Amino acid sequence: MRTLSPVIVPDTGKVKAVSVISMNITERVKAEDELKKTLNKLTETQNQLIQNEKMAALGRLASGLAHQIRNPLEIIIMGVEFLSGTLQNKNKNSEKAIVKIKQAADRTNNIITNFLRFSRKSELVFKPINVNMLINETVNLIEHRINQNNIKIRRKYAEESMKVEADKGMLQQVFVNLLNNAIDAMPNGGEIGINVKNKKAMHIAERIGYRDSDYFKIGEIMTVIEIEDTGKGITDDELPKVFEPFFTTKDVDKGTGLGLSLAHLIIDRHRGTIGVESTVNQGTKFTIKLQPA
Amino acid sequence: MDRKKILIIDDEEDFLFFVKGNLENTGEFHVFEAASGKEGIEIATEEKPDLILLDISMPKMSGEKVAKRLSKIPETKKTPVIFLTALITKHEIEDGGISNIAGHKFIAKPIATKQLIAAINNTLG
Repeated sequence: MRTLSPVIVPDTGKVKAVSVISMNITERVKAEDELKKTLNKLTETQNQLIQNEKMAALGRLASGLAHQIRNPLEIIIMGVEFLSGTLQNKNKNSEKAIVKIKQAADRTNNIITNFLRFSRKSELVFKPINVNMLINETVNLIEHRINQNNIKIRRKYAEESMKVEADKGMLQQVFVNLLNNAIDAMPNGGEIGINVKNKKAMHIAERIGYRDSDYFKIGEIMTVIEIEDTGKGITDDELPKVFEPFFTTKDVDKGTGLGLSLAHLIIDRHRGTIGVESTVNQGTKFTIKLQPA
Repeated sequence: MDRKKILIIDDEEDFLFFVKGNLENTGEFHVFEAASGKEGIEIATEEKPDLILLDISMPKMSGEKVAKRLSKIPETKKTPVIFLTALITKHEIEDGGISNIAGHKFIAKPIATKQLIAAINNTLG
């Protein structure tokens, strides 16, 4: 429908006549809708291609890194074992040093192994996983650290069994990283709260995944996992950088700066999102959103 | 009991030095070392080892090429070969630090001496 300029009486300023031209634009609207859909599909395909290319580049980087780092690591491990077998006058301290070096080498190898694992798409095995059970298993796994650091765990699961489509090992790696970070943020003890709930997407822009097409429709259910601590928090300056590789606020011997970037990449491979909120001296909360199984 | 003869072919000379030391310290093995595929084939033909540990990624001649050549030499064609690689991940390795891929055995680096010995004994039976 189109309205032409009204005819106005010059003396009074009143509208004398209005011309309205109507035409059927159903076909045009339809065509525009089709065009929009095609454009969205194209954007989605393009994003997927970019994502695939990124993953391929990451795969190449991981393979190169693995080769460059694992060979010298092997020399360190074999060398320490050689010293351990041949060293005369071994005492408690030298034995402790040998153990520490081996542990550090193992830790480095684990980082590389994880890099290799998640950079290979074929290696992810998606199955319906009970998130609550997986969290319980993970908490048991790091129980000694929790007790050592005087930390209380508060768990709140909205339902007994909440299932998401996930690679169990990879998702567990995310929980391990987040829980370890929470422990590190509370050197004098504190509390870790873990909440799992299903939530209805209420906003048109409620995202699942980082791609342009990764939105929930209003009313769809998403599984939300929150892990929060009562630790020292992260400053506003540091907060945007926490998912960047090699960013760390920990001491050199404690943090690699890879834990959260790994978590981000793993959740991304699940077509989910991970976000963070923090207040200095009050605590930090990580929120993961996944598609329910 | 005769010590088992092991040949390690790897371009990392420090690795050769330590693996040789660690295996020989157990008293169970006599270890020969070669820092290139060419040298490895010569030693294998001459010494007829019970088992060969062979690095895949080597300059000039890859581990794969070395294995092919060894399989055509009468003195070495039946010698079991375990490939060493830094590229397969731990979870791809079965118990004992060893895995079979397309009929070949692989060990993922880094591996501790204990696991390496288990893998060798496992292969030699």
